[in-house]
Order: sequence, then structure tokens, then C-alpha cells
Amino acid sequence: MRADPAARGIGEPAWARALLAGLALLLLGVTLALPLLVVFTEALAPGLAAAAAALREPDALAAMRLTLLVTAIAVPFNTVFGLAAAWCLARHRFPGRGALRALVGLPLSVSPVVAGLALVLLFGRTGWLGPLLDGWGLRVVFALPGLVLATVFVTLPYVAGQLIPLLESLAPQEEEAALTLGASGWQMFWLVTLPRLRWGLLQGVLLCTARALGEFGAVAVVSGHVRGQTTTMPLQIEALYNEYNLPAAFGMAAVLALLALVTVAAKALLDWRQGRALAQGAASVLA
Amino acid sequence: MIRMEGLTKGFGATRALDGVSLDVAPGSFVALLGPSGSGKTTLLRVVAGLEQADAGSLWIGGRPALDLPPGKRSVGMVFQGYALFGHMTVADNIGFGLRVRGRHRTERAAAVERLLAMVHLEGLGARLPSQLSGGQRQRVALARALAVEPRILLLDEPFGALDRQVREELRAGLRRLQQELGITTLFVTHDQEEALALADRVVVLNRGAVAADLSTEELARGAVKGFAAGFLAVG
Repeated sequence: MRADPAARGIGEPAWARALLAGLALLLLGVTLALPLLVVFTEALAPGLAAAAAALREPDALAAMRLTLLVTAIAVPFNTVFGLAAAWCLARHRFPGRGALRALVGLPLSVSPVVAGLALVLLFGRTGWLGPLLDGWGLRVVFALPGLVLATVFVTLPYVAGQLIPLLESLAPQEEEAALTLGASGWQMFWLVTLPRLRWGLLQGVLLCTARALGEFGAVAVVSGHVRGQTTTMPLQIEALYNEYNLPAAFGMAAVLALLALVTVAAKALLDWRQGRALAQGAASVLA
Repeated sequence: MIRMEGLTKGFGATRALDGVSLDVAPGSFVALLGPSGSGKTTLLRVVAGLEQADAGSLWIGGRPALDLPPGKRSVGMVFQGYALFGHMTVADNIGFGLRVRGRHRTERAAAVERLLAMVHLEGLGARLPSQLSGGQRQRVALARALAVEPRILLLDEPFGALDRQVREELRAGLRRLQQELGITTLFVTHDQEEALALADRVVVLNRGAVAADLSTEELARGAVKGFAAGFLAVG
């Protein structure tokens, strides 16, 4: 039995290792664990019954419904987009491919507030397309379509960002084998490509979901903050907080944090299972 | 069975194929031999339909084939590294071609059993490719390619990743199978010994063109000149 080289480190002294580990843990504790702890203790401070009552307010229920609805539209959209983008960018060579690849990651570097403003300038009453859409009786800004568009923009890179490098790393031989065996393009995609991408896809979808649930900046600009109508959970939390209704604010924050924790836990579970499957595959090859 | 005329294919500035013309008789076993970069794999991929030729013509079984998609050319292909579907069992791998052709489950199961027996892998249908040895994987790839009853079998370095003993066993198995089925077979190799052991005709490629086209009897007699003589001597 040899020692795991990763566990031995690369030769730094024990005190340095302890210092680095301690610093990392301290940072994690202060920036991640403590805030989460505060949210949950504050939410439960007035008692479970009071917290539950605050969440049963009509405005609170409307905010939760709206957040789930926006997420339920934005995530499938970005899943399909991510698959299509990965297929185009990883399996085809065309002029402008590099630019398109960079563009997919753009929403990560643009401030969400700017994205929201851009949507207002585009679809607002006096925006470029606003009057046209008004003519059709379609309202985008200060309504559900605007919230969905803002969320789609912000969460666009998550699925594509997982799938593009993954598909680029997979050799195309399996797809070619499917083609020589008589598969149509769709059959090849559904039976061979998609199953090969399944774990990465699921992870991308979970990240996208977590981000969509919590999006604040872009949504805040296009929402208009109509209580019970265009206020999502993060916006509702801010509004409650600004009114000094702290128990209600923390209650809703706890629900949102819980949703995020569940998605992160699901992703961690996937990582763990995938790691185990890879280890098993490697072990059986060596056997 | 296969007729190639002036097949040409370039990748950017390099010419992978430079006017290859070749006739492959029905039931024959032809080795495409050459150093790396000689265009042998490209030629195989053009025949399979995985690569588009820039110029030239190709007939498979008397029909023009260049405009046909890979699945309509009646070719079975064994890839270098085998390209088995890692998420499917051995049985599902072998039955894939029948599945996408809409054959019924029971018919498929019977065919898979027959093919497993043919490549001596009885009882391994439920395994995943990752649970097989290299030699077993190669035979699964062969069975998968033969499942759709192609008229032509294409093999790209089918023994490349195997150790010597396994390689020699599989060679004998492949040769026997090819003769039993009488299937026209084109296989790519850089190994002269392998070419001589398996094929009844060896086509030597160099820089995308046919440098020599020899029957194994001619090779045995030593009637080889030019590049081919040099390549065969060092190969």
C-alpha cells in the first residue's frame, strides 16, 4: 500500500499546510457557513409557527409561485440552447466560431443590472421594440416575459458552459460508429451523444436552476416591483427587509437558501457518483 | 465490389488522397498498408462516407456511393479503439444497427445471441464495454459492424492496441470469419507482417497515392520495387 501522493503534498512543511488549511476554513466559515447559519437561526427565531405564517401571506406565496414559474421557463430554454450551442461549437468548424464561443460566456462578465437595463431600453414603452410589441398588446417590461428574458440572459452560460468543453473532450468516433450503423442524425443524438453528456447536462441544469432561483439584479430592473404580481422571491426579500419586516424577510431568505442548498447537494451527489463510476471503469480496465 | 476512381481529398494545404484508383473484388481481403500520413485511414473513411471526397468516383456493389450517407452504403466499420458505446451493454452495442433500423426486440435479441456466439462471447451480453478486455472489445466491435449484414467490412488498425498473443489469436479468428461470410474486407494497417498474415492482396499507399498493388504471392516471390520495396524492407 503506497501513500496517496496527493495526501503527501508536494513537500511543504506541516505548519504551512496547517496554516493554509486553517485560512481556507476560516474564510469558508466567515463567508459561507456563518451567513447561512444566521439566515436559518433568524428565520426560526420567532418560532416555527410564526415563520410559517409569514410564508403563507398571499404576497409571499405569489413571490414563490412567480420565482418557480420563471425558473421553470428559463431552465428548459437554456437547456435546449446549451445542447444546441455545444453541438454547433464542439462538433463543427465555421467562421466566427471563436467569437460565438466567447459570446456564450458573456453574461457571466456583464453586470446583471446592465442586462436588465438593456432589456428595458429594448422592450420598454419608449424602447426600440416597445411600441411594436405594444401594438400587439404584448407587455415585456414590468411583466412575466421581461422577468423570464432577464433570467434567461443571466443563466445562459451555465448549461452551455458545462457541455461545450465536455463535448469537445469526447472523441467523435462513437457518433461516427452510430452513423455507419444506419442511425439518422436524431437517433445518433438521442441514443449516443445525449447519454454521453448526461452527467454534465444534469450538473449544468442544476447550476442554472440555482442561479435562476436567486437572480436579483437583472430581474430587479425589469420587474417594476408590483407586489403579488412581478415580485420574485429575492425581490420580495429585499422589500420586506427595507420595511424592517425582518422575520418575514429571513423566513423567505431561508426558503431560498434551502432551495439553493438542495440543488448544490444534488450536484455534489452527482459529482460523487460520477467519480465512483469513473474509478470503477478504470479499475475494471486495469483488472 | 468496391471501385474507386481518382479519389482525391485535401485537408487545408495537405493532400491526404491524391487520385486513388482501386478495384476490390467481391469476397477479397485487401490490406491498405503504409506509413502514418500515407492516407490509408482517410481512404477508408471516404469509402465509409465519414469523409467527403473532393473529386473522384466510388461505386459499392455497382452503385455510385459518394452521395450516399454512411448508413446507406452497406458498410460495417470497426474503428481504431473500437468506439463502442460506453453507456450501453454489449448486447445493446451489437443490436444498435438493428434497433435504428426499427427491427423488433425479439428479432434483435436472437440476432445478438447469434453474433455473440460467432465471435465467441457467449454469456457476456449484459456486460458494459468497460468490463471487457481489449480483445473482447475488438470482437464486440466486429460483431456490431456485422450485425447489419453489410456487403463490405472496413477495419481501421483493428489490432493496434492489443498485445502480441491476443493479436495473433484474433487475426486467425478474423480471417476464418471473413472466409466463412465471404465478406469483402478492406483493412488499414501499418504492420507489414499483419498485412501478409491476413490479406490476399496488399495495397501500399504513400503520400495519398497507390505506390504498389500486390498479391500476397507476388510479395512472397519478392517482386516489389521502388517505395514499396523500401517501405516493406524497413516495415
